[in-house]
Amino acid sequence: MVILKKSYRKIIFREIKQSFSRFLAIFFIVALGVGFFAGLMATTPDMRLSADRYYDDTYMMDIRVVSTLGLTDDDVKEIRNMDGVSGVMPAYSTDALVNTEEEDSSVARIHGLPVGDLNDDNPDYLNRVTVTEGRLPEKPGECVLEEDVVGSRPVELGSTIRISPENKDDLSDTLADTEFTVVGYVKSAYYFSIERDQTTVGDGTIDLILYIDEKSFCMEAYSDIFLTVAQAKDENTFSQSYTDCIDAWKEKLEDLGSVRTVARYDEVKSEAQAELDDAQQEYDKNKEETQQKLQDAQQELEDGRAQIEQSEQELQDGFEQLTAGEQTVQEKEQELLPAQQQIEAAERTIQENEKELALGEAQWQEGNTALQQKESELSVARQQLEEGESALAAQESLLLQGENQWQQGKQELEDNRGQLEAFKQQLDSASQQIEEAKKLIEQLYQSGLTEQARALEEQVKQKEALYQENLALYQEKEALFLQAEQELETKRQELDAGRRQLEAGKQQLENSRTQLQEGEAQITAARAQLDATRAQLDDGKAQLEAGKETLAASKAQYEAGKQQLEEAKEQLSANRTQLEEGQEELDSAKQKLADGEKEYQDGKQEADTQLGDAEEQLRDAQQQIDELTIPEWYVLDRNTNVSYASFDSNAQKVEAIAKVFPVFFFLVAALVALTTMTRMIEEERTQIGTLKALGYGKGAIALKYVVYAGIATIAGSVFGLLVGFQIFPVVIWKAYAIMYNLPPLITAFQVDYALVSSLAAICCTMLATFFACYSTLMETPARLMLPRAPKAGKRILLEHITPIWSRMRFTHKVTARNLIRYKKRFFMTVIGIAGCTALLLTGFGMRDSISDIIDKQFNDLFQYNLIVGVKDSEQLSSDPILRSVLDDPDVVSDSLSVHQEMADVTSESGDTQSSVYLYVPESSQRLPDFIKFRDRKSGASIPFTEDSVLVSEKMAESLHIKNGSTITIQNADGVKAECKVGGIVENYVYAYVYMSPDLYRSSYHAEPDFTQVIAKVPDTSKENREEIASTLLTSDDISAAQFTNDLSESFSDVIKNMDYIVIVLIVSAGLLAFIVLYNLTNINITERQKEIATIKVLGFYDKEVSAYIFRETAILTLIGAAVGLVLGIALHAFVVKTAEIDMVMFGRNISVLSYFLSALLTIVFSLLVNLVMYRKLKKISMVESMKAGE
Amino acid sequence: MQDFVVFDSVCKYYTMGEQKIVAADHVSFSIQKGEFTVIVGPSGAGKTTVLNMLGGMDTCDEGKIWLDGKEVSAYTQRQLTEYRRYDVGFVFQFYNLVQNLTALENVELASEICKEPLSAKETLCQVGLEDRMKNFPAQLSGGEQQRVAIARALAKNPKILLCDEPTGALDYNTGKNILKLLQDTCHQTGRTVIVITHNQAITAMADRVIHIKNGRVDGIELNEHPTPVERIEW
Repeated sequence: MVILKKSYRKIIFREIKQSFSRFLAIFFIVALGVGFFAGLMATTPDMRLSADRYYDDTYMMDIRVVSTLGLTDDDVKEIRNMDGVSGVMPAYSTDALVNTEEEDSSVARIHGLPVGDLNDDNPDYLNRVTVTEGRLPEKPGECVLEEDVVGSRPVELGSTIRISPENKDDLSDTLADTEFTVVGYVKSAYYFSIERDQTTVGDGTIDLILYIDEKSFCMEAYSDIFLTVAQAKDENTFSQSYTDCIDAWKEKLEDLGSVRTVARYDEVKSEAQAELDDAQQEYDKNKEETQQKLQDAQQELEDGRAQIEQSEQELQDGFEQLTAGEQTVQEKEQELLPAQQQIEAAERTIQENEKELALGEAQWQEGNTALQQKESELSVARQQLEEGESALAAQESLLLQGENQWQQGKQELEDNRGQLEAFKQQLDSASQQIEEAKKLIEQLYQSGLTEQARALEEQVKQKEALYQENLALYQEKEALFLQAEQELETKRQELDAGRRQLEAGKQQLENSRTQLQEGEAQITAARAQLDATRAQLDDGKAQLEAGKETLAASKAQYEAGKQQLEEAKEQLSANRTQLEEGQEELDSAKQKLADGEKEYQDGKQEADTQLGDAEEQLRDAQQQIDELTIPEWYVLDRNTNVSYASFDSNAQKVEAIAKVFPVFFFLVAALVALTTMTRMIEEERTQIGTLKALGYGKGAIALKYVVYAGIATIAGSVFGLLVGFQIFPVVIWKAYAIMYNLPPLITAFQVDYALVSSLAAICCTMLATFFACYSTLMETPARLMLPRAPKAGKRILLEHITPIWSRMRFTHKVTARNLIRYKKRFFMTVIGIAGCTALLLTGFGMRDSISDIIDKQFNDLFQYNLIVGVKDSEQLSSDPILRSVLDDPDVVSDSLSVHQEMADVTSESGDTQSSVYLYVPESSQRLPDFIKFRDRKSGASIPFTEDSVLVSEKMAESLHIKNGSTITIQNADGVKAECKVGGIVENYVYAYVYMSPDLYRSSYHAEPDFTQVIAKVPDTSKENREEIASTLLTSDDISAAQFTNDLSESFSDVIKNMDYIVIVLIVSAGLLAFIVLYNLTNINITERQKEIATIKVLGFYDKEVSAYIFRETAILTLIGAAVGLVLGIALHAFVVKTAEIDMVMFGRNISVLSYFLSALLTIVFSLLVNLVMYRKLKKISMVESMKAGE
Repeated sequence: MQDFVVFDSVCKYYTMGEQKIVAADHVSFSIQKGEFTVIVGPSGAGKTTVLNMLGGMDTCDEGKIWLDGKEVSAYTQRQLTEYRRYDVGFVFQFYNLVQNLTALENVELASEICKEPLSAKETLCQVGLEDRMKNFPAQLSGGEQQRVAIARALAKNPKILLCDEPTGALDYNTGKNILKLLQDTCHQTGRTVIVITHNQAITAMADRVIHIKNGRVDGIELNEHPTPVERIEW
């Protein structure tokens, strides 16, 4: 070892300082390569370590024992007695529908916690929960909930969760409490995955995980026994030694199980038998009692019937007597009839007599009245008579007086007559005088003596007036006189009439008197007659009364007889009523008897049925007991824990990716680091020559570069390891945090990976440096000190293709020639860039491959989307719930029954794969409607024939099965059959052998057991799916109902996480691409500094200068990217194959977008690098470059 | 007649760590159009600095530089690039040819970017390389390479031809031939040529000689009758 001289040391450090960008480039490339490699490699161990630590910290069970008949304290004791068991926790758990305050009918898994015994130092408290909020339950009726992976808490603290009444099984013998108050949230190692367990309750997926006080359970046996093994705690749970340890324990426990199960079987059986015997006894007792009762009832009925007969006889007698009595009464009645007639006649006579008597009396009364009236009339007449007499006397006196007056009047009249006549004479004379006078006048006039006539006339007139006056007087007097005369005459007549009247009055009076007297005589006679009649009447009356009395007596006699008769009749009718009542009673008694008889019949029948049922039940129970098989212990390890299995498979995936990808990544980084150092040594050949000329030994000279490379690489490795061990595992862990509720990652410094990667890096660069130095050092110092002969320009092939060459722009020619000229640089750059592009493409391609699976498997290949598992193939056609769903064309458009079992497949080459699904449809013709059989590469569909099987691609690949070859399929019962392969079909998840039912029958001589239905449900909305699943699971016959949509969703979640890993890969590849491009461009520029200066001096603009350089870089990038894409396809295929987990075949295709993105990213990085380099180009000093003569 | 090139009290400093080196100390001179000028001085006197500043490869810190009535010292970087592109032709000691281009292509590399370039082929014929046009630099001798360099400079049809020790890497005869080529170019085409050299002998062939010493102009001579190259011996 050469001792470094001081000046030499200086040279090294100055070298670093001067070419710091190169130093940094090496540093970063190494850092990235080592960090990525080690970091990604360390991720899986870190993940496993963290999970293991979590398991250890929370006393996660190593083994879980469940039994078909539950587990007892004796089992616990036996297990506890095993050597090496560190903790045993018997536990209860059940699945149930619960109602939270927000949602009804959530599916919950309920675990019992040994409340009261939750001390940290209790080794038997396993599967410990960590409280994240609130507290643990302290008494029955409280619960805590497992917190969601994302930390969301669907149920509020303090709210109540109730066991739903809609549970299809009665939970009363499972849970004592039905209401639980949420007092806290916990997380546990048992359930840290977003993937939840399956159940047969509700829609089949567990929504909530509850922990309650185990005292709330009232199960008669434990549902699980969890245990930890002391030896296993020290092992990493994912390690082979752990698996070996646990496998050994599983065997031990299974051995114990085979003993314990027999004991348990005996116990259960004897208990059941005892119970059954009790039941049998009770049944016998009941049967006897029932029969006794029935007999009694029959006896009673017999008695009743006899009684009724007797009563009927009695009643008949009674009726006979009654009829006789009635006859007698009728006879008596007949006898009584004449008496009645006699009495009636007598009565009539009396009535007539009475009538006559009454008439007589009336007549008498009438006569008497008439008589009295006559007498009073008579007395009135007498009075009138007397009054008439006195009136007549007064009239007579008046008449006389009148006659006297008349005499006087006549006298006077006579006197007057004389006077009157005297006066008449006077008048007549006067009248004569006047007449004479008048005649004179006339004569006068005629004579003409008018004067005298007139005077005379005057006189006459006076005289005439006087006369006239006197004449009037006379006529008055005459009238008076005539009137008086008339009056007198009238008086006379009146007097005469009065006289006549008086005379007539007298006569009349006389007549009246006579009449009166006659009347009085008549009255007297009448009175006498009346009195006689009176006496007669009184006699008649007395006689009548006597007759009446006699009649009344006989009548009374008759009435008494009659009365007697009536009484007798009444008696008879009463008797009749009584008899009739008796009859009625008898009838009802008869009815009752009939009813009773019917009742008896019914009762008897019922009792017989019941007894029959009971007997059958007893028989069934006996049969059940007889059929009771020895229970089975299932000894389950952590692999059956959903979270564990999911985590394990994901860790495996990361491991698989970390296997190939970082290696390639590292190779690219190493290559670039190596090139950088080689270039550096070539650049410094003059200096090497000088040193050599100065007498420095080869070793010393080489040491400088080795040290330079060493410092850069070691520093880069250390930095890369420090960062890589933190960043990559943490980023990937964070990505998985979306799926897993786990404590923070424990990042361990994985010494092995650190050593492997950094040593590899150091060796790479240092050896490369050494060999580069070596070849340089072999040259003579003189040659070295000379400016290196510039590499001769060369005509390139392209120049001979004149049409192209002559059309190329001058600068392009330069570029083309330059590219070809520096072959080393060309290849180095192309490989570096191609490597990055390939990594990018692999990253994107991984994403395509994984996302492909889901879409292709569940949407493209599997045309069905519902799988229903049935417990018994017979239920397939009979279960009403299943049929109602499958036969409803609105819900399910098509369905097919299939048989599925696990088989082992052995190929001709002798390779065997187990866990292959042997898939037998009920109808071979219809299976292609549900599963597309096609060749992956050509897409051509493959027919499903009756006589050959179809195998899935991945299995065919790994077992080297060819189309037409023969495979041996060992079915679940261990029967082997050889079958011809009729085709290899595209398939991504699991391995399948598709076989027709006929071939199955002929191969295995057994009937396929169709316990699965695959169906197409057109409406794939989440609500509809949940509804269908919960409907189906209400049936006891259905063991599972799963939608491929759910499967694909859960796969999609996994893929999202894969996305993060892929992003890590892509970002890393991008970073690598950037550093590689930077480094290579940097080398390019440094090497051609003089050329650049020259063209700058020639007056090239900055843009033209950069174009001159970057055109080359761009073309190199494009070529590199193109090569990288091709390389990427191969790398991707390799990575995918390596990363594939057992049951999954990743997609082999890379999407166009991924090609595009990978190329684009490379170009973008190249542009970025050029942008950075542009500044550097601008800074190149023409003056300095001109000086140095190379 | 106006001065074609004017250096007016031009200074240039370099700072090396804490030390300040004066590369040009108030350099002043002027050159007429069409003159063959030789700038002569010992190594490190500042000749190249002057040439670099004149050629637009470097800037001055003080003073002014004029070429053809334009102030070069006031140019921006972009203008300097244009100046180099159109107005200046360079010939270097080590030829600075692009190795990957043939003789013709090297000339074309320059002529392609100019406004009124001369024919690349003709220029090469002019410098006597009609048979070597398709050869790469590596296939040419030093003198031939320098001829290519001169052809490259000339093809640009520049206002001024700047040559930095053009014979430095050449043998005596070849050097002479090159100098002859330069002188002929100057006198036949009337192009202004400035040659930098440490060889005092060469001064005899110049129309104008500028002596530089320690960054200063040590003297300027004018040769009325410059000696033809053939007669110069060194």
